[in-house]
Amino acid sequence: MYLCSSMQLASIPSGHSVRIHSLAGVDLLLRRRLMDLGVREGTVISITRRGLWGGPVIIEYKGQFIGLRQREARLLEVTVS
Amino acid sequence: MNIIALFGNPNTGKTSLFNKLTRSYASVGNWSGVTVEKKVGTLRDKSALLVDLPGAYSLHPLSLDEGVTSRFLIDEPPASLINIVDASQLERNLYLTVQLLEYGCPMVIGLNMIDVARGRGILIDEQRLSRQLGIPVLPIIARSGQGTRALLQHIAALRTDSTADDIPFRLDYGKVIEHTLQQLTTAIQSALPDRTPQYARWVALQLLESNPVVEQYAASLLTPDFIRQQTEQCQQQLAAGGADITPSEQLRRVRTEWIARLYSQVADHSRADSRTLTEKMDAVLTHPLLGIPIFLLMMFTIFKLTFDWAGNLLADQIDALISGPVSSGATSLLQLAGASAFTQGLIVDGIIAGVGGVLVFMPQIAILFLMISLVEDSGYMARITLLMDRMMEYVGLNGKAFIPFIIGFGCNVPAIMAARTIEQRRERLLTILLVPLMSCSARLPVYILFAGVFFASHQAVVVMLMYVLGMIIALGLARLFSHSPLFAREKSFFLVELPPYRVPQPLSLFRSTWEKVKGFLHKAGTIILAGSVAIWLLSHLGMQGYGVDMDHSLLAAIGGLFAPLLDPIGFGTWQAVAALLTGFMAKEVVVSTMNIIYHAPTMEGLGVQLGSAFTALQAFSFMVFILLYTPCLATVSVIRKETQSWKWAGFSILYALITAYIAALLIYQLGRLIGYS
Repeated sequence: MYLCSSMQLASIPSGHSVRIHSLAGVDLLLRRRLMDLGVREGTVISITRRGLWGGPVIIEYKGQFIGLRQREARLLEVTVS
Repeated sequence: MNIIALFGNPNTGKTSLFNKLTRSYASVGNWSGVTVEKKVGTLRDKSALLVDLPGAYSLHPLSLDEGVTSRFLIDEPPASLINIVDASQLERNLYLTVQLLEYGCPMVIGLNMIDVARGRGILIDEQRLSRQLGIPVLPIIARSGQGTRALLQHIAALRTDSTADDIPFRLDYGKVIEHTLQQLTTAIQSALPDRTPQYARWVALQLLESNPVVEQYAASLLTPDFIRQQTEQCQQQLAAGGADITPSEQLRRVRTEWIARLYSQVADHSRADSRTLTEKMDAVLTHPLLGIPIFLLMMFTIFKLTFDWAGNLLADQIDALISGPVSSGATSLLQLAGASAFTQGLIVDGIIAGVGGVLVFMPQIAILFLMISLVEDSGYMARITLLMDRMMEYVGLNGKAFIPFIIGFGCNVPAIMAARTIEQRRERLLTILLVPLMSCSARLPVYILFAGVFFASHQAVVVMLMYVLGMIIALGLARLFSHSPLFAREKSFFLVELPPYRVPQPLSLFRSTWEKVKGFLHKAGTIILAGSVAIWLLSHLGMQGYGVDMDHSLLAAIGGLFAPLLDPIGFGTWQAVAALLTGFMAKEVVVSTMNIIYHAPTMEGLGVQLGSAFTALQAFSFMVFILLYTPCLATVSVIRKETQSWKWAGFSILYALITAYIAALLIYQLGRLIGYS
């Protein structure tokens, strides 16, 4: 069971699903926007696209697609389950 | 009249419903933040006023457009609400619904996009939802108008039966929060004795959430010390109880848990499809490598279509009509009526030449508008922001700034207003200031005219070059400005919702294109008409009175004053100065002025005249100068309004003039160095 450890979203290859462990590192304004869209601690998201040269990533949550900068995506702590 | 207000998350179809219910036409699109200010219309049966508001995820605003919704609830309490929710994203949409229920105004839910939800295999039990929330829930498809009639009937019923016996909606936020709410509510109630206890509780709730709009409002009701004392106490008690969260986090937690329970009872996901068409399309259109080339290819196709394939053919037809039958018909009519030479000159050489010379370009403008509407409606707009964000971040902007930029290709005025959805103040201001560098449709007639005369074989490429140049200069200046002390550095983030793609409806495309074309025609009948009359008069009046040779007219005198300044950039003639000065009113007037000054009966004739007045290099320098030189009057006034500052409005004129001069100078002088004349 100790296979699942907390890691950063940026290190997850696209196509994988992860559970959000903590949003504590995310800037307040962005955290509110994410929560407005239903993304919060405990939700399962998947990464569908990874941008080139540090371009935005697309995450999917319940059929909803959200574009996010990699720098900020890096602040999401996730666990692979 | 009663007021009904439309609330809902961004991009859930509020404006589509508004258009269906009111016979008005407000622009719609498929991205978050199309509507940035409130719009009022009358219901078709004239029984009430309907107010369309910008979309918001919650009543706590993060951007300017969202602030409109909370302010509306406080300043103009509506008689009833319509809450539009997106059936395919119901759980997220219900968060705003809970806050609206807490506000306590009679309300109906329009469950929109049930077709999209069904397509994705999500089934919503709307009757159960209605029972749980205690308000009517009606399935609708706002785009086609399905179900809107029933929705209207329910609203009418809401207004007739009094809601006195209804139990007000209330969530239990736990002992600590409820205690603070009680304290705040009592204080608010005594400041507002004629409002309901439900309303007082809503204000208290929004205060605990630190909604800035409500905080400002409450400052007039309660002492700031009292509010601070209550919230701090609440915070301490929460901490003492072992919960390490702020009051606003606790509110959100209670609401989301309540919503999650409700949602699991009313929604059926068992048939949900895993991979949708949108995902398949995004795999190509937002592809890390191919995404940007595909976008550029699409833009190029739009230009080819506008100039080479369709637009020019149609424009030639209109030109033949105006310079032929209309012009000669008017002349013979005026002669028949015995009009003086002055009247004949004013009407035929002034108004018909000036206004007609611009109307000729309507086909190209209409096609460009249609293309922009297509991008707005399909859902591609949000993807463009995603593709461009990396580059925009590099220059100190946000991918979202690309939406105003693209709208700016149509007209800069709505584009500057569209910048309201950008959350960061600094990025919003930068976007507003740079939008005027996006080549709007008013500048198009100038390019087509000059490119047609001087670069006939590469027209589409030369015109596209203008657009690209405007964009490159905008990005370069963004980089320059964002690193200057004028713009304080601010934390920035980019988050964009990518809506499902949809096939644009022909009728909706036609309407939005027509609305924009109508705006162009209206401009032709007002500013361009007035400008043409003024130019004709000024070019025929001199110190000796009416009928002087044009080179001794007032217009020549005014133009001649500034002409030496423009010598280094290639067009130091009084004619060019006159066109540039009048172009400040509206950029199309540049073409009207050319038509009147060079006094040519047809486009071909004007071409010959221009060909002898400009060389190709001078013409190119002139086109670039027109692209950059100053925002038009309407744009400057909207910049002043949106930035609340004359300083920034003045800055927008000044930096544009300097940039235009430098760019034209480089082009003309370098061009001469390498052997062009």
